[in-house]
Formats: sequence, C-alpha cells, structure tokens
Amino acid sequence: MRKQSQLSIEKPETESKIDAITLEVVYSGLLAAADEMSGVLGRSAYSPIIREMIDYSCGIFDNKGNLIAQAENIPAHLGSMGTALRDLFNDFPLDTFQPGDAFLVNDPYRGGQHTPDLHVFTPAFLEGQLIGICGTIAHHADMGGKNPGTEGFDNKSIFEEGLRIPPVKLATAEQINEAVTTIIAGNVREPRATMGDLRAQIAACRYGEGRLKELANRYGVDTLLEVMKKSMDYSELRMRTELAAMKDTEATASGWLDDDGVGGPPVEIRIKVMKRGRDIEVDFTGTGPQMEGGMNVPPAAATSAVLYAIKCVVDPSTPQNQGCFRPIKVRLPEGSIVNPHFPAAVSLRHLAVQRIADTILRALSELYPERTAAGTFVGFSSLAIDSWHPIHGNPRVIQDDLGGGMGAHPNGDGIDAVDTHCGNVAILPAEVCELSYQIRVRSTELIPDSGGPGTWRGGLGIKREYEILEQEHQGLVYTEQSNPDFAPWGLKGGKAGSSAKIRHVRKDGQEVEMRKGYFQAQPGDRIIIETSGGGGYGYPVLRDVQRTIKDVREGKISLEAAEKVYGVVIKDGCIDVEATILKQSK
Amino acid sequence: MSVTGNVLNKVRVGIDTGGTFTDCVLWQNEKQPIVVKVPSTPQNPAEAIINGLQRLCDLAGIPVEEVDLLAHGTTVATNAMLQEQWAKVGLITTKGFRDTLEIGTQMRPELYQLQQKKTAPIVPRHLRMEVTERIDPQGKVVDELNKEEVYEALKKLLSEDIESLAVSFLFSYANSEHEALVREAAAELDPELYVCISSEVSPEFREYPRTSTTVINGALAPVVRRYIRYLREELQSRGIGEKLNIMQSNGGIVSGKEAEVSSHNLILSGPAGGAVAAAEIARKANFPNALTFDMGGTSSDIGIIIDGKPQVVQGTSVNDVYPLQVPTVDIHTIGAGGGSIGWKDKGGALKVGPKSAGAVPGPACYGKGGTEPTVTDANLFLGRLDPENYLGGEFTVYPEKSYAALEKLAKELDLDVERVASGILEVANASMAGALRVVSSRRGYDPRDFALIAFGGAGPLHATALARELGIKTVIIPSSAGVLCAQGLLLSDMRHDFTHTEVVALDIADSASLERSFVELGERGAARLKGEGVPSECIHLKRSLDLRYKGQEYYLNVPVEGEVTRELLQEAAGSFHEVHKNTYGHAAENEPVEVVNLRLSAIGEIERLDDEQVVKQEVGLNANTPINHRSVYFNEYGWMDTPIYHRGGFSLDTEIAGPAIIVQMDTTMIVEPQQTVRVDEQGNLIVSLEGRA
Repeated sequence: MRKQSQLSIEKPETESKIDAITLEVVYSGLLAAADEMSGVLGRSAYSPIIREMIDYSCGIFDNKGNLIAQAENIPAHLGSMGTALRDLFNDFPLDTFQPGDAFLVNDPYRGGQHTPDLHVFTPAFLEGQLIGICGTIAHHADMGGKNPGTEGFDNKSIFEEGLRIPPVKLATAEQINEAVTTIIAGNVREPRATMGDLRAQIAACRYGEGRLKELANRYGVDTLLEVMKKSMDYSELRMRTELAAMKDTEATASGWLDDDGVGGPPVEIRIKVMKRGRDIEVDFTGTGPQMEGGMNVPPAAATSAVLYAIKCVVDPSTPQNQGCFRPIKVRLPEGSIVNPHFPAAVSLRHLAVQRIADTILRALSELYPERTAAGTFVGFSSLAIDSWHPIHGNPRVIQDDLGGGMGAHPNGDGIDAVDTHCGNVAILPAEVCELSYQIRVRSTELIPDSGGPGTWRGGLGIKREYEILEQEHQGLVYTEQSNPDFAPWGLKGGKAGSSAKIRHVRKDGQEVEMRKGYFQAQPGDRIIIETSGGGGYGYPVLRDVQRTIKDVREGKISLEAAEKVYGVVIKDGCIDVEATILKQSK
Repeated sequence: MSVTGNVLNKVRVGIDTGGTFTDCVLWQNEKQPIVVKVPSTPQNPAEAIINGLQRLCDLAGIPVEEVDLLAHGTTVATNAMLQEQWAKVGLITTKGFRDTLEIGTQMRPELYQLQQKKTAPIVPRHLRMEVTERIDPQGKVVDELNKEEVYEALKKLLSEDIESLAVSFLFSYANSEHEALVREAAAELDPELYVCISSEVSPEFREYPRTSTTVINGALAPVVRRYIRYLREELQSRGIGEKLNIMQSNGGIVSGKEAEVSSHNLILSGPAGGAVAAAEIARKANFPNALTFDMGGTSSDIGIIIDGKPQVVQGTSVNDVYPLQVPTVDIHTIGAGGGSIGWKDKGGALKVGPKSAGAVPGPACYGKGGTEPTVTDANLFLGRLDPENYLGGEFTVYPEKSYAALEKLAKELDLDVERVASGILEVANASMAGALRVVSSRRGYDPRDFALIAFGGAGPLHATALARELGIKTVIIPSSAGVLCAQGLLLSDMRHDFTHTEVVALDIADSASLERSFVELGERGAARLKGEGVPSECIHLKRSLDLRYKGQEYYLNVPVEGEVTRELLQEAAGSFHEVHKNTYGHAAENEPVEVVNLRLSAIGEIERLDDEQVVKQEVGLNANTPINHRSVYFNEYGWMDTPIYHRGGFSLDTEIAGPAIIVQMDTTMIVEPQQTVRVDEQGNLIVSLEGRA
C-alpha cells in the first residue's frame, strides 16, 4: 500500500515539433474517440444502472499509462482508471502487452474503487508498436456478496462484498478467457446482465483501439504520441497558470461522517490543503482510523474526490488528463479510512467520498469564496427494498437515491434539489415506481426553509414519501448528514442548511427515526426521506428583499422565517416597509 | 389517391420563415417552379409571408385565390421558447407533486461548477397548485378528486391572471376522468381560458416529461394561436384562409386550425422541412442513407436519413432543458457556424467557438464593428469566398478587416496569418466532424456508410473537408440548397400522432384488447384528418409498438401491420430482437418482451408532383467554362490557382476535377484537389472523394 499517492509522473518539456493547431485538431480527435467509446458502451450495455443511470466512464491512455482523454459521466470516476491501470503493470508489464489483449480488475486493494466497478483495459498497436491503451470502468448491478447490489453500510470486510478480481487477462486476440468469465458468472446474482455489460466494455475498448489506429495512420505515430504528450503539458499549464493566480494558503478543515456504519461514534475526515505557487497538496493526516463498517475509501476513490474538488476550484474547463493532476499531491495515511488496510469493507465508499469533497471545499472556501460555495448536501440518502411486481408478482429490488440542496455562493442561491458533487444520477419516477413495485410514491416535494439562510440562500432539500402496498416488505435505508452538527455549513455569515432525516411511519401513526438500518414495513406504512438543504452565503439580513418576497410567494421561505431570519415583514402579500426597516436595523 | 386528388394542375406554395430571409416556393405542374426570397419581418412574420405569396403569384401570373395548398414552416414556437416569450401558465397537479416540474430528474446541469445556475421552470412555484386525487397504474381511482380544492385552485390561478392552464395528474394516461373534470370546472369559471390536459397532450407514462410537455403546450398555445389566427385572417381576406397548413416537428403538416392546439408540435417546424426535402433528394439520388449538414451563421444542424426517410425520435428537449415528449425529426444542433470566433485560450491553444459574432456585429469583414476573426473571415482570407460577390453581390464585405482580425490573433499565437486562417478552418472542421461522428456512432451508425448532404449558407463551403475527415465518399449539394426547407414543405404529408400507454408482457397480452385500443386511436386519427378535409381514400393509418425486455427502463419502436393477433405479436417480438441488435449491439432472444406503448400515425397523403417539374430548374445548357480564376488556399497544398464556376452554367454531362469553386446566389461550394464533381439528373452536384487515397 502506498503511503503517499504522488500523481506527478513526468516533467513537462518545452521543446515541441507540433504547433497549436495540430495539437487542437488531433487532441479533439482523441476527445471525440473517448466520447464515442462512451456511446458504444452506453448503447450496448444491458443493466439500467449503466445505460440509464450512466454510471460508467471511458478513457484513452498513452503508451505509458498516462490518462490522455476521458469521457466521464459522473465525477466519482475522475482520474481513477489510471490508478488501476498503473497497478496492473506490476503483474503485466507494458512490454508484455500483445495486440488483442484485454485486462480486467475490480480489486479496491489493487487500484479499484469498490467491487461493483469493473475496469477493462486493452492496448492499441499499430504495426507492432504500442500507441496507447483504452480503458472503461462501469458499475455493475451486482458482484455477489451478502446484499443484493453488493453494497452494505454494515459490511465488515471485503469478503462480504462479493467477487474480488485482481488484475487478470480477460482475453487475447484469439479468445475470451472463459475460466475468468465462468467464475464471475458463478458468483453474481444476474450473470446474464453482467456478462452482457462486460462484453459492452470490451466492445467500447475495441472501438477506441480502432479510432487510435485511424488517428495514428492519418497523422503519423510520432505526431499522435507527441500530441498526447503536449496535451498533458497543456492541461498542466492551464492548471498551474490558474493556481499561480490564486493566493497561497495553508488551510485545514474537518468533516464528519455520522457514524462508522455499525452504530459507532462519528468518524473524522481531516484535511490540510497547502497551496504554494503553482502546486497544491492535500494531506489527510489526522483522518480517523479505518472503520468497522462499509464506508472506507480505497485510495483510487479518495484521489478522485480530491481531483474533483480541486478541479471545481481551480479550473472546471481544463481537459481531463494526467497533466491536470501533476500539480496535485495527495497524502493518504495508511490504515485510515482513506487508505484502509486489507480487508476493510469499502462498498459504500461513495458516502465518505462525498464528505471528502465537501471537506476539501470547506478548507478552501474561506480563502477563495469567489471560486467556491457554502456547504452542499452530501448525505447520499438512499433506500433499497425487496419488493414484487404489482401484477406478475416476481421479486425485484427497488433502489432510489435522493439529491438535495447545493450551497449558496457570492453570485447566487444554491440550486434546489439536485444530486451533488461526485454523483449525478436520476431520481426514480413515481409512475415507474408504482408500475414496477408494490410501492406508491405519495409525494416528492421541495422542503420550505431547508436551505441555509443567507444573502444568498442555500438550495432546498427533497422530501419523498413511499407508501408500502399489499404485503410486508423488508428493506434498508441509509443516510449521512442526519446529525445537525454536520449539516451543510454556511459561509461568510450564511447559516447552515437543514439536516437529513429518515422516518418509518407506521399505519397507526407510530414513528421510528432511522439513520442507517433495516426495516420491516406493513401495507399502509410509509418511509419518509428528507434530504438536506445547502448552506447559505453572507448575512441573511443583507438578502435582497425582493428575493425574499419572491421566495415567500413561492413557498420556499415561510412567512415566519422571512420575519425571524431575514427581517422581512410581509402582511397580506405586501411588504410592511416600516416594520422591515425596524427589524433589519436590529 | 391523395389529398390533392386527381387535379394535377393544382397550385402549391411552400413558405419557410428564416432569421434573415423568408423563402418561398411555388409549384405548378408543367411549369417552372418559382423561387422568391423576401426579407423576414420578425416583429410580425406574417407580413413577409403575405409579401412572398403575392410576389410568387405575380411571377406565376395567377391570382392568390388560385393557391390550393399553402404549407408553412414557422419559427414562432421556436422563438417563443428561445426568447422565453411564452404565456403565463398555471399548473394543477396531483397532491404531493407540484414540484415534479421543478425537480425534474434531479440531475444538475454542470458537473464541476460549484456556482452553477439551473434554468427556472416555465411555471413558477406559486402558479403550481395541488389537489387531492389519485389514480393507480390500472386506471382505478384510489382517491376521489376533491372538487372544492379544484375550484379553490382555479380561483387562485385566475386571480393571478393566467393566460392558460395545464393539468397533469399521475396515471392520467390510464384514466383521464379527473383531468377532464378539472377542465370542465375551469370552463365554468372562465370559458375563454385555454386549458390543456396531459392525457390529451402526452398520454404516456413518466410524470416529469408528460407534465413538461403539457406545460410547453400551455405556454405556447396562446402565442401560436394569436399568430395563426392573424395569418389565417390575412389569408382569408385573399380567399385562401382554409388552405393554410403548418409544418410540425414530426415532418408532417397539419391544418392551421389543428396547429393552434398542438403548439408543442411546432418547435422544429423549420428544420423539419429541410429534413424531409433532404430525405427526398437522398432517395432520388440513390443515396438512401445520408447525414444532413445544415450550417448557418451561429449553429449547425445535423440529421440522419435512413432508407430515404428522416429519422424520427419519440422525445426531445427544448432549450436543452425542458423535456418534450413528441415525435420529432432527429436533428442535433451544435454551436458552430460561420460566425464562430477563433481565439487563443489560457493554455495557448487555438480554439474556435462556442462564442459567435452572430448577425451583429457579425464577422470582422462585415465592417459592423466585429474585430475578432471568425470562420467566415478565414474563408474570405483564404480565397474560398469571393469578396466581390458575397451573397450574390448584394452584400459588401471588407477583406482588410478580416486580415486585421486574423493578424491580431496570429501575433498572439506567434504564427503567420495563413496558418492561423487555415487553422481556424481546421479546428472548426475537426469539431464539426467530431460532432457528426458522435451523432452517428451514438445511434449505432458508421459515417463512412453514408453520403453527406450539405445545405444552408455555409454547409457547402465545409462539406467536402468534413467528408474527407470522416471518410465519407460522396457529398451531395442539392440544386435548391438555399431554399431546401421551403421545398420540403411541399413534399410533406399531413400527419397526426397518437399514443396509448399499456405496460403488459407480450406473452400474456390480450390481443383483442390491444386491437380495440389501436382501432380507437385509428378512429381518432381518421376523424381528425377528415375534419381537415382529407378524403378517406387518402388516409393511411400506421401502427407501431414500443417494446422492451422486461426489466429494462427504455423501449424501442417496432412498426406492425394489420390486426393484432398472437401471431402478429410474435412477429413484433422477432423484429424487436433485430432492432435491439442493430441499435444496442446485442439481443436476448430468450428474454420476455414487454409492450409499453401503442403508437399510431394518421397520414393524409399529399400527391407528389412529377419529378420532372420540380427540380431541374437550374440545369442549363451553357458550356462548362469557368467565370473566373483566383488564388485559393488548400491545406496540405497551399495556394492554388483555382477556377471559379457558376452553378447555373452546368449541363448534365458536366464533370470537373478539383480544385474548383462553384458559386450560386446563396451559397459557395468548395471542391478540393483530388475530388471530382458532376451534376446528376436531379440537378444535384455530386462530389466524389473516391479518387483520394
């Protein structure tokens, strides 16, 4: 296990044979190729989680394993494929690669994210010369383990998280390695879908190989390799130029998970960010020791969260490649939740990943308010229930993840009700839910007053009510950010947003509050999830009165909150000017 | 038989409103087609239409009342959406769901922007009311509609002076009773109020796109109605008010009266005409599979034609934000055009667009204050456009201003001016080629299997370079490249689409019940066409099923013919496996298949005019001699002395080897070295790239 993940691999060179135009033309060909790979994978995948929720990414690497172009659909995959690829070189050195090879890995302890995320890599050759590597990562619906879907907050080791695949050769030019596919098919709940999705990943990689060969034929191998090199230098230069324009700082922040997944006390993520000149370092020293439950974060996932946060702050538009990452150094202490010892469980690493991104942004927010925002919902409130088709009666698992409010910032209110940071998946439509499961969605609403008050208001959270129909259901729910102390934080005088909340309301009106847990529900029972609103920015009394009036009219801020928090007194739909001036002057 | 019946000498007019010009075409059998371009009148687009119509009829020497069919492509709906000039809409939903419109999919617009904004919903929250009611997926009432709440909501909305009302209840596609009751109540309180209900506008499952579609209808209807009524009155005073037909996004036309209530079907009214015409041209030129490329000043439209038909998709989005669940000609718009600006970014790379000089100030060479080099400036500097004859000589351009703008950027990039100008074209072409490739590969096609049909002001200037980039072997420039959309209006049938959602496994589906549903949709379709004056013998009803593997979220559309029986359903499942394989790369023949929606298109066939009469107008008999020579820059070759031809001078046996430039009034075409161009029997220019290695 690496104590320190150093992303800088090589120094930029200034000498070059190609000009800005050739670079732009060929590089746009590489970007389009990654995008096309993404199209091929999305079209031919079988599982809804890949095709509809778009939980996959594709990338093109140079012939040394540096990321050159990436089409990532959710930020959780940013830069993460490279970690798995470089680890793979330990078992399969680059000089042993043959045309037609395909490699497979999902092991979180070998550069992977969590077991459902399968990586496939294939090398591209032209006339015997290795010209690049194509890679894909896709979240499979199930990789086996104790829970359907493989993930579990109370998993205590990787051995409860299904099939762990260290780097293996999945195919040669002649054939697929059937020993590997047979073992996989024998260990997962939906073997046919998994095999279909795996074939789609290979198809996308083969497509990418074809495009790389075409580009090499068209512009020459030397030009292609030179463009790959220059594109990294270009992204590095963009990042470093932006960094140089930012004030130097050494900032710290702590973020907390509500618990360790098995009912223990809150877990700390401690971040120190050092920005000096054209470099930036993120140090996790002081972060809590690896936890008993399933939210530990393998290095590849922790690094993605760091890259996401820094990219947001420094330059969101820099093309994604290894060059972007060169100015960034990451220290992940061994044995902590961000670099756990084998065999810690990691399947719900995305809950902690959200909090990592949030904590880095918090460290940077005081110094760079013009580039950041107040705290955002990072609770990842989710539900998974074993249900049945309402007509055919066949068993099926319903899964739903809810978004929340984004943080306010000096240029505007936070967005209401969206999936945040490293995730970006769709909500389950109420009609699809009732057509497919014995569960009725009773409401899906914005929560008034959930957004942290401020000169700019935090985005609102979502409240969704699920009613159980027909027969007893068993399921699990989980959320982070249920502790009000860990709710989305305000910035520069802005107030915190609301905290997340899950309730099981029985038919007789009896209520049980839950944070992470399993439940049994009878027909007529309701599961009610409320997610957090984002944090506010700036002092609430400085909010433009017209905006407060509009929010009150739209029911996003209550009359009481308008008066009490914003000092805006509204009577019969009109502002009471005198009372408002009096209130605000206090 | 068809709508125009056996009277072949009928007079047909197609008028397409564009941003700058309104294109007008008049067809009459055994006569030369007449083409007129009149300046558009954005304040009141109808003015230009009446002007154009009058000029066409004057040129044809006939009175206006002799026009038998007027087909119109309008931008009224498109512009209302783009400029957010829509009506004030109120929305009533099922209790607990007024925020569906605002929450949408809960996905955020940008991945890496902490300070991003999200476009506000069309109906603000205080105009979205909830009432108690609930229907289940089978259409059974779970909670009765609370009428008191309905009146309360209506009174509140009417006191806010809404201009229209949208109603969208959960599962209303399975039982529209509650929505209809709200409409009745609204009519009681305000008989003049426009009311649309989701079970009529978009009877398909998924509450967000259905609600969004209904709201778009409500937002546009008052605007579209005002426009169409005005236009009909103007036409009526000339005796042809009933002859007005409007092009819809699905590539079919509809009577003016019907268009008033299907406003949400008019968003792509303009480009749909181009797609229909391009498909007809592709089919007749024997290139039934083609990509279309329509490049204008600020954006370019890409479309796909398969088997001589424009591809129609079942859903799209408006302004890239609001879902719109209607059949729509599959057109993908990218933000690259002649006005796209070349610039040096922070990392020192040459970028082109997405910023555009637009119409004002326009490219530097327009001399209207633009100082940044655009794609048009690069084309002008490299000799690809003629400064003396820009837009047929009706427009003055200033090459020295292009040079100054290019020189400024060249200094920043430390390159010479030529390299920067050719670089702007290379970079712009690379990004457009990338978009063409992504558009086709995302739909499961390889661009090399297609011809490229180019039109629009700048399409033919870039088409041959794009084809070279993509490995496409043939480029087609239609004879009427400048008025293609107007021409397409005259090639369109009348069309209405109907949907019925019924989610049921194919193997247990009751075929008699599905048949009854299809018959019911067919009766509605036929009735609507008859109401528009289409005789029964011209009415064709086309059925199709949306199918999916059980467990999948989304579906594919499979056409079916004849009465629904067990055998027919089996056949449909067979076709589904095949379509699935073609679209997604694999099929699962042992998996159970599920019906999702029944779809029916009611087509009122419009008789085609004889080919001979409509497309050969530009095939002349003059000698194929260049009108001029000038120095033109070609990448990889440098400056070459290049002959300039006038397209009107070509005869049928013309065959010219590149390099060459071919000009016509509204566009200029480049033939690169090692390419050849010929004229086909339809008058199209066909460029062959086969000669190239």
